[in-house]
Amino acid sequence: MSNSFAFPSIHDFPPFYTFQPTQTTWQNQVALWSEIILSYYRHHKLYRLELSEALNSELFYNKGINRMAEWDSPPKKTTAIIYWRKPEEWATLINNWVFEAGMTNSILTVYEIAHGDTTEGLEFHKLDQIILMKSLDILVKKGVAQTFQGTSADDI
Amino acid sequence: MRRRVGGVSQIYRLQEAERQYNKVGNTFAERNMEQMKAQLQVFKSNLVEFSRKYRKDISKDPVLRQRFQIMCSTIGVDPLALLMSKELKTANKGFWAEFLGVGDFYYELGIQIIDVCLSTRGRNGGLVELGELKCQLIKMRSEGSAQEISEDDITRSIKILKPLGNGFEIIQIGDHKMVRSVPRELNKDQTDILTLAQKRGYVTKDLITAELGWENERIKDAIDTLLIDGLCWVDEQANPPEYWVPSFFKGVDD
Repeated sequence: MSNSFAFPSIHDFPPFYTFQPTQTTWQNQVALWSEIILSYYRHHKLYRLELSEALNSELFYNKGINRMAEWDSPPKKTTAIIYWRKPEEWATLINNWVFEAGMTNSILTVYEIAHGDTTEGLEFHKLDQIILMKSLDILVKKGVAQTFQGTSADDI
Repeated sequence: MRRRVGGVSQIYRLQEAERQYNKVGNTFAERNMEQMKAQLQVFKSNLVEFSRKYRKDISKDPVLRQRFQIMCSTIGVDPLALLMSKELKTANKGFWAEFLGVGDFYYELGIQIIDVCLSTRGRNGGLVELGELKCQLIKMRSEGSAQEISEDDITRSIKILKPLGNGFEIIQIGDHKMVRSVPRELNKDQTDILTLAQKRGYVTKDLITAELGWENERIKDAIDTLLIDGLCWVDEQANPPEYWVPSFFKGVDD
C-alpha cells in the first residue's frame, strides 16, 4: 500500500485482540479500536468494511504477533460504512467546491461529482456512493441542490 | 374527642398519603438535587477562597494541608481535578504554584505529569514506568518551552504532587521505577506477580506456579485483582492464556 498507516504500538499488544473481561478495561479497548479504525480508514480513504475481507486486512490481523481480532457473536450484517467524516461535513465540502468553481446553477451528474476529472485530488473524489447520496440529500434539504431522476443528474 | 376510623377507609387514606408523598418526593428529590448542585458550587468556590486566603499556612503546615485534603474529599472535591480545571490552570497559575510552594517550572511539569497519567490510566491501570513517563513528557513539551527534564525533576514533581492525594507515588517493582497515580495500594502477591512479569512483559499461571510455588486458588485471586485493577490484560489467543502488563509494554501509552 502506498504510504502505509503507522499503527499505534497498542496494535502490537497481544491482549488487544482478546475481549477483556474487566469492564473499564474493555471500554478503553473499544475506544482505542474505534480510534484506530477511523484513523486507518481516513488515512487510506476507505469507506466500507466488508467483514469477510476485513479479517484478513492488516488492520485486524497482525501478522507480526499472529493475533487476529475476533467477533464475539456472529454479526448480523456483513458490511459496515465507516464515517470517519460526517455526511454534513462532506456536504459542506461539496457545496464549497461548487461555489468556488463557479458552478452554481449548473447541472452535474452524481457520477461527475465523485469521479469527474474536475474533482480529482479533492477530498470527496471517489467518495462512497451511499455517503455521497446522504451528503447530497443534506444539500437538498438545505435547499441548495435539487436532484433529478432518470439519468441521475444533480442541479446545484 | 378522637374518632376511631374504620379499617378500609384508613388503608385508603394511607395509600393516598403515600401517593401524595411519592409525588412530592420526586419533585423534592429533583429540587434537592438542584439545590445540592448549587450548594456544591458554593462549597467549591468557598474552598478556592479558603485556599487563597490560607495558602501560606497550608503550604507551610503539613497538618493543615492534610486537613485541607480531608475537607476536599469530604465535600467530594478532587484537589487534582480542581488543579486541572480550566479556570485554575492558567489564570491562577501563580496561586497554585505558591500553594504548592514551588516555582513555575515544577508547577507546569506537575500538571503535565497529571495529564499523561490521567489520559493513560485506562490502559495501564494507573501504573506507568518512569522512563516511559519521561518519554511522553518530552514529546509533550517539545511543542512548547523546550526545557530539558530529568528523571530527578519528575521525581521531585511527584513528591510535590503527593500531598494532593490521588495516590501519586513512585514505587519500585523489580528493577523498574514505576509511577503510580491511583490511590490503590498493591498487595504483596500482586507486586510479586508484576515483578515476575517484568522479564517477558507477561506471565502465565504455570509460570507463577513454577517460580513462586503458589497453589491455584491464590494465583487465581491475585490475577483476578490485577485484571480488575486494570493492571493486566489477558491474551486468550495464547495457549496457555498469557497475562500481560501494559505498564511494561514499550510505548503502549503513545
